[in-house]
Amino acid sequence: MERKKQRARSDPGRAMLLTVMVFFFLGFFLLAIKDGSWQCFVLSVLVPAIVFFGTTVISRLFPSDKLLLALTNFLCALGVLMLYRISPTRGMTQALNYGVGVVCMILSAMLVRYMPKTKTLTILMMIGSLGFLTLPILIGTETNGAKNWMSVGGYSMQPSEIVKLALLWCLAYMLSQRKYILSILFGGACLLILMLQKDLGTALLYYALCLVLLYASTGSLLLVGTGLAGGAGAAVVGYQMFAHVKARLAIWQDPWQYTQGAGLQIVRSFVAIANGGLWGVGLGLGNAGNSTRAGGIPEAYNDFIFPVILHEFGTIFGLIVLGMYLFIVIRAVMIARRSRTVFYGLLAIGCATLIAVQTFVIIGGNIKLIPLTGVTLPFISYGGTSMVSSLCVIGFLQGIASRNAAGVDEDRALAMEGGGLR
Amino acid sequence: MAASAYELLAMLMRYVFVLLGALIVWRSFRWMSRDARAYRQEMRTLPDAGLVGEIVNLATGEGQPLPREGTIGSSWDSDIRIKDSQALRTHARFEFEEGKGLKVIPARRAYMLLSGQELRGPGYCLHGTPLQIGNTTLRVRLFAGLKVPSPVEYPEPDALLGGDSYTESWEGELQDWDRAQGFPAIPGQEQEEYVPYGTGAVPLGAPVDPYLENAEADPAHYEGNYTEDGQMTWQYAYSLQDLQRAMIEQNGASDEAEGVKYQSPLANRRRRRKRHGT
Amino acid sequence: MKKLRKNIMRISLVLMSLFFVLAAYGAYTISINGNRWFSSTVNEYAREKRSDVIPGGILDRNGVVLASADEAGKRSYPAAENVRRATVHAVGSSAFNMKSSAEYFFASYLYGFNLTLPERLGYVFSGQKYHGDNVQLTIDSALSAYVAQIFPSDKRGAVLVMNYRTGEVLTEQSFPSFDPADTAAAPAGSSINRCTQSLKAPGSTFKMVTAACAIENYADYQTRVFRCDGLLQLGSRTVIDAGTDLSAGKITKHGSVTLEKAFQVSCNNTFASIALEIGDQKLRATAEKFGFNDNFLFRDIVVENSSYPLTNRTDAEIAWTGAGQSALAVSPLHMCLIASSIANGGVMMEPRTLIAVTAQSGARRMSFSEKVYRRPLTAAQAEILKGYMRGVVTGGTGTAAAVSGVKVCGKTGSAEIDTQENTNAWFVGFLDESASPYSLVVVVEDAGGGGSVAAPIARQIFQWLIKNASAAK
Repeated sequence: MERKKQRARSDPGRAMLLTVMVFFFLGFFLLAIKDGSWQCFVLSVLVPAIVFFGTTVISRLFPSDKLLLALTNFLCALGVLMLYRISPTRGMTQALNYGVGVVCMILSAMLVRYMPKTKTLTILMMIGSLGFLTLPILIGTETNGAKNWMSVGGYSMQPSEIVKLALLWCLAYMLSQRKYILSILFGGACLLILMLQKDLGTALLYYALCLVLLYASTGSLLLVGTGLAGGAGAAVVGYQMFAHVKARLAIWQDPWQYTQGAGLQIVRSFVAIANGGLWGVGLGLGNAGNSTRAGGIPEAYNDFIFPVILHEFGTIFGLIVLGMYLFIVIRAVMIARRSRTVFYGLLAIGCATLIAVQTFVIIGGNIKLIPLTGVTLPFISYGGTSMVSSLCVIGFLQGIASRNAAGVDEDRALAMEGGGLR
Repeated sequence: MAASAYELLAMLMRYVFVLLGALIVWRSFRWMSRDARAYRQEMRTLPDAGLVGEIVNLATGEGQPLPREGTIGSSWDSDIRIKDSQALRTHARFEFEEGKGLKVIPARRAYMLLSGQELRGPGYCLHGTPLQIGNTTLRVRLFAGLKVPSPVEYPEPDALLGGDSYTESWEGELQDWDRAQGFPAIPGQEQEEYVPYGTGAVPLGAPVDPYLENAEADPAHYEGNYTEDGQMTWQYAYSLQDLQRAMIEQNGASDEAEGVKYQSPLANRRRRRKRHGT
Repeated sequence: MKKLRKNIMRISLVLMSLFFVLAAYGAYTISINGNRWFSSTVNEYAREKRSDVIPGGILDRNGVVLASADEAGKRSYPAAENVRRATVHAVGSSAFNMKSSAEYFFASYLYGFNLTLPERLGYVFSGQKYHGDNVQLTIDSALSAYVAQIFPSDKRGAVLVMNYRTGEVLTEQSFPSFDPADTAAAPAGSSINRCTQSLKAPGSTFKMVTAACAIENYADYQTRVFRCDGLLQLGSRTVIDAGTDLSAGKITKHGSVTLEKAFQVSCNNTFASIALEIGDQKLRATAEKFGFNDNFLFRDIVVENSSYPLTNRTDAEIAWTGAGQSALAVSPLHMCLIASSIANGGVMMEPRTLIAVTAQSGARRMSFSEKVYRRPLTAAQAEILKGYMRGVVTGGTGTAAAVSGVKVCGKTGSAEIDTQENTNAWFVGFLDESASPYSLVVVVEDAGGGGSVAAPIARQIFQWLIKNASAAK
């Protein structure tokens, strides 16, 4: 008993995990009181269980970053909670996605932890990702002006979400080998394909990733400046070429002119946020999530989940969620800084960039800071591919963190052995 | 009634949720700052963390810490920085491979010698391997305990130092000094060992006292120093007592007695370095 | 590695700043726009919630109940019909989406969205419906009724009276108006609040801004003489004065005038040449000091943003801007604010319509205080302009507004609108009396000259204000 207490005190992870689990037990229990459905009671136990599983299993396998795990799991479970609130069927699917995502996270962490970086793997990844990325152009379906979805055997997926990870890995590998030309070509090819798919949000994300990785490995402002100029040029071309880009920009300038049409989403998002106020309207009491109800935000489950959170939980809670994303990014940067080799350093800072930029792009779009582009909010938005890819990013970080920890152990062993020079 | 009861419950619970969320953020913040502190403390006890050894510039005697991966070159942000007009900004990069040694990959159009042979592709360095870039000769030193093959025979250090580039650099002066002045032999240490390491034998900036009155106070005596930003510099100094003893043994008696003023070879070297502005 | 670590730290700064930008912008935009978003007409959530709540009452500044509600939550308007009609644009009507009215803009108070948890508990346990807070407006119902009575009944237009020391709006009226108790009979377009929502060319009233610009930029503004030949040819367009009819060969000329004289007689040519001489940049800078091109985010009143044109700045356009035409678009309220800043020693107060919010228990939940919006003029400049405006009423175009024994200052305007037969008649002015610090704007659309149509209405309002100064405190 005494020992248990001591462990609890020494391990901040336990208290944190308990807090997270209590939060979701209460959340689902509250919804269960409202609905009275058995599914919700099941979820009120199941989701904390997945949180527990997702937080503890990796740290049993190898040394890992438990804070990162706890925050990630909180956000994922928050996504399940909000989606269940919006639509119970989507919530159940998302709980499944979350479970699958946790397994994928563990697998990707093991990949980074145990797999040596090899040239052949990278080349295979490059070819595979280019091929995979072009698939939606051939057999994909068009939604919201972008042709970035395809369905395989009744299960629809977004290849760009998965290729994101491959791009990150390949760029980190090539840049660690100082193959700049090749990596620029590869990144450019991916961007071009995305432009063809008219998936501009994801293109923006890829573009930021390429720029950040190039800057991290070269430190050349000239190169980044050229990249930025090229991006600005591409943006102008995109504005001229694509009608839906023009429409998005017009909506961004004044959404209130389009309250009955394309600006409906963002206007309703504003109204939902304003209704929420500081403390929210209360879980289960809002109308913003349900698009069939008057005043509901269309596609609230996907792009506009953050305004729904602000609506029901309030602006203060929204800032708290933003703080969690910030901590995840800071943690990723720490892992990048502590990494022993260039490849893992680049991989980790790439992970940080993906999470930070994706969060910025979608939340910034929600509050009209920048024009709205359709990317998902990492961990929270509905969607299997999105969930898997975001959790794989965390898996990468866990793998790198465990490598860093192993490196410190090695250093300690060296120091014990007498250390220093021969 | 049930609906309004639920409404009140949900409105009450939103404070609980915000509280729990704030608790999580607060705990994360505490956790992160504690963790960062612990990591810093651990790094303080492990000054060699992330390093696999050092690279010594034989001309100046300065050592630079050797990370697992990095670059060699003349640019200020190179991990191993060499001030040499013939070195490229990034002359080569290196990565340590477990069981194989330090893999050195020269940049395109970069000319360098590894163990006296031109390096055209990746090459492996072991403990003691000499590298030559332009006029600079470097020697790799790896930590004991790393999994690397044991060192092989390398050319004599004399051969390394006596190369054309070397004489050009010092305009023959060094050789003159080496041969004409002679270096006092130190008992128990062979000439071959101290020449490469002994060339920069006095801590930079320390006053050289040929009569070695302050020898005890010399802090850099055989020690590695850590500067404030965590960089490690090694400065090799023969124990000044050793030098003194060697001098006395060689000359039998005090130099002063015979009217010969002993000129420290090291002081001489220092002056020359100043003149050349290296 | 060294380089990588350094670059990682730089990148991390950028990544973290992204979050700070998000949080800062989000907090800023929600705090600034939150109330506007909430009171927008597409807020279905609020509409849904309203049906469960008994709305709070709306009172005028003297406690006259303008709107109340019965136990079922149905709105009723207990005041007399003429008062109902005169205050409808300030009070609002649940039948129309009038976003600047109290009914919408103060919905968070009126419909109990700000009730605290204990208050809600109290209502639930006593089995009652939630009851929203009462809202007291700065509107004076007696003044409003008087203004509605004297305004020509067949004309469209707007009248706004405010206290230039505190920014309180005493009446905001838009004609035609309607009876909130009988919304079916409302004429088309009557739900628009012309004081705040309709932007028009200000005509000669804009010369207050041009004159302020001249005083600022000419050191010798008192002695400088301008030449008015009646015609100022600029490319294919000509600047003419009121009364000039080129087809009839009639040309109004003022000859050599000083700035003060030109202001009094409202000489277009002089102000056009001033605008051309000083230049578009400086005139725009002065206009922006007065609030043009600013995003009006007043705390308790919704006003459309005024615009000083930024594109198509040819010489003719710049010249006409100086005389108040061109593409200038101003709401009557903003014009009144400009006159108020001159009256108030160069300090522009934020316009306010809310005095207090009171809970049903009688406790005052919040009170609203005055706030300076901006300071476009120095006290000395304001004094000079005040003198010019006094001159307009004593010996210029606005003599019809003069009230004996009282210092009335003002500026007339006759704004040409392409689609209308007659000009829009404007009068902007104020009482330079410490006991009754009121400024007003009168706009009568499609009616004729400001001096002949709007100024007499202003005179009657001034007279009422002086008579009832103690009542309308």
